[in-house]
Amino acid sequence: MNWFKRNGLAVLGAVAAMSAATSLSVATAMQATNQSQLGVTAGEKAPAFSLKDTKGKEHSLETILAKDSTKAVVLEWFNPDCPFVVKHHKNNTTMKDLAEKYADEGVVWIAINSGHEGHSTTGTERNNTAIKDWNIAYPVLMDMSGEVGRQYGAKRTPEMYVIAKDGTVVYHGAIDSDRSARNLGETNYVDDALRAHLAGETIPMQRTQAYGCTVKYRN
Amino acid sequence: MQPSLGTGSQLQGREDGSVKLLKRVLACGATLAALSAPAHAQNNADQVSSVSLIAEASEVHPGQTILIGLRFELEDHWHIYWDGRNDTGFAPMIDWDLPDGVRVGPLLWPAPSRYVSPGNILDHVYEGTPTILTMLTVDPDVAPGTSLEIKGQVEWLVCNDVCLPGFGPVSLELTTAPKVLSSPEQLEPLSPDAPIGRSASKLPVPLTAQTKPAGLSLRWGEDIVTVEYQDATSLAFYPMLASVSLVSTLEDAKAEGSKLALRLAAPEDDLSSSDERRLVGVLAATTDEGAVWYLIDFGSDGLRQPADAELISHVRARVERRPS
Repeated sequence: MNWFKRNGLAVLGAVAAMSAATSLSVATAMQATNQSQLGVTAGEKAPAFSLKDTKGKEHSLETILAKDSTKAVVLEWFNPDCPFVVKHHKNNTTMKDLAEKYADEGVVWIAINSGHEGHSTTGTERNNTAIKDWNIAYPVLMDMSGEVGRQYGAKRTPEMYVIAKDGTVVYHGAIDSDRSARNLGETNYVDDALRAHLAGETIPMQRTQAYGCTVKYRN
Repeated sequence: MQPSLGTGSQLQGREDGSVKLLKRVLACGATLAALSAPAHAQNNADQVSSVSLIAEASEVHPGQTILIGLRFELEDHWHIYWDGRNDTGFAPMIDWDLPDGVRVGPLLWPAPSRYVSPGNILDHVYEGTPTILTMLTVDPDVAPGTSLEIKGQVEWLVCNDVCLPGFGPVSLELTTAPKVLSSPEQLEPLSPDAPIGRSASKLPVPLTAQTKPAGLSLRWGEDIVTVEYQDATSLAFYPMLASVSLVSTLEDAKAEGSKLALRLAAPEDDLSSSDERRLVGVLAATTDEGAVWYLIDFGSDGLRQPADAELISHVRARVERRPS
């Protein structure tokens, strides 16, 4: 008997497949139960923000969404020393590949580090090194006050949000279906969400439980 | 807005400890850890944790079932994760490699502690030397005197202010005893002072109509479940993956006093195991007699026998009773 599968994460994958069919009703019901202090999730308005990246350039969500070429925005909560971020940036190139795949289709990909000032995983130097080491082509925004992260309710790295042109969050949760620090999931939820959203279809899974390290917020 | 936690969101660490002091120590520890292994720290959990496979006995009779455990030793202030609903991390996993004639059961998890990080982040964790249990059975037709090598690959995550992933082999050598016992289930009581017995004594008691103490009541409502336990001075609920989602486990699932009011939310798409909404998890209560834990599977139709209840009850019954 394979107890690894029974006790481990494969269970989640099976459950995910089973529940995909009911996601529409779930997504509708969930809007009513989530409260603003818990952050935002699928179906809710994405909080506006303006933050500087590691090179000092300002990025405003409002401005990005207003651009004609923008069809959607992906936010990826980031910490270069988190094993789950390492899984998708170093051991695999999940994030880079997805960002490239949809770049020509008007999807703007942004990483945000909400770790507090002075933490070993934050600051421009550490993050610029990661950008260089991992060939990250998109900006990493510095949110050292944690204000933006807390508004979104982002708790983990990586935690993913897909925002539609009209500013609504259309996907919130994990990057994929394997919650370990080693293996890739069979289902990439963000890929599925972007594909469906850009085709004008209903996103099959709009809200999943993100996995990862804690965001290193200031106390 | 955290009435039950007071300044909970400002704190980091186990809620039953001296948290503010711990917080400072943690901050130092994290800095040291980050400094001591800058490049590949994320690939080496061995600096702060180790794992081994232990058994209650080195000899096992053909046909017998014994307890074995995955024992972790963690540096101070580092934690691993319970197998339930956590905001971050993941629970240890093992991929067994067993000899012919040997079977193992599901992993049995002792009660964890709540761990709150800044940003309203809630996890359920173990510190110190946690042991995750399982039952190992040797088939009756295994020849006496056989050497059995129990092996597995373990994957875990150990965190304080930073996280390190661990991955590696564990193994344990058992020998089949010379002859089959006439009564193969006869085993010594488990000492609560030994790792396996200590862990067994922290397995939550499966809550059924028979085991439910007087004074404990659960009420199901459409949007809220209330738990009252008259004997309790504090209560906490640790939701498992199969549970209905709560609006705020951080705010609702821990309270001083004898009552919890758990607001029910819609599930995440990937965690909705069935259309049936049930509260599944561990109820932790502090009473005059100390800490007690109950494993709960509760729905609109009342209590149902929790998964693995018979196994857990069997293990718990083997822990040596001490006169108090």
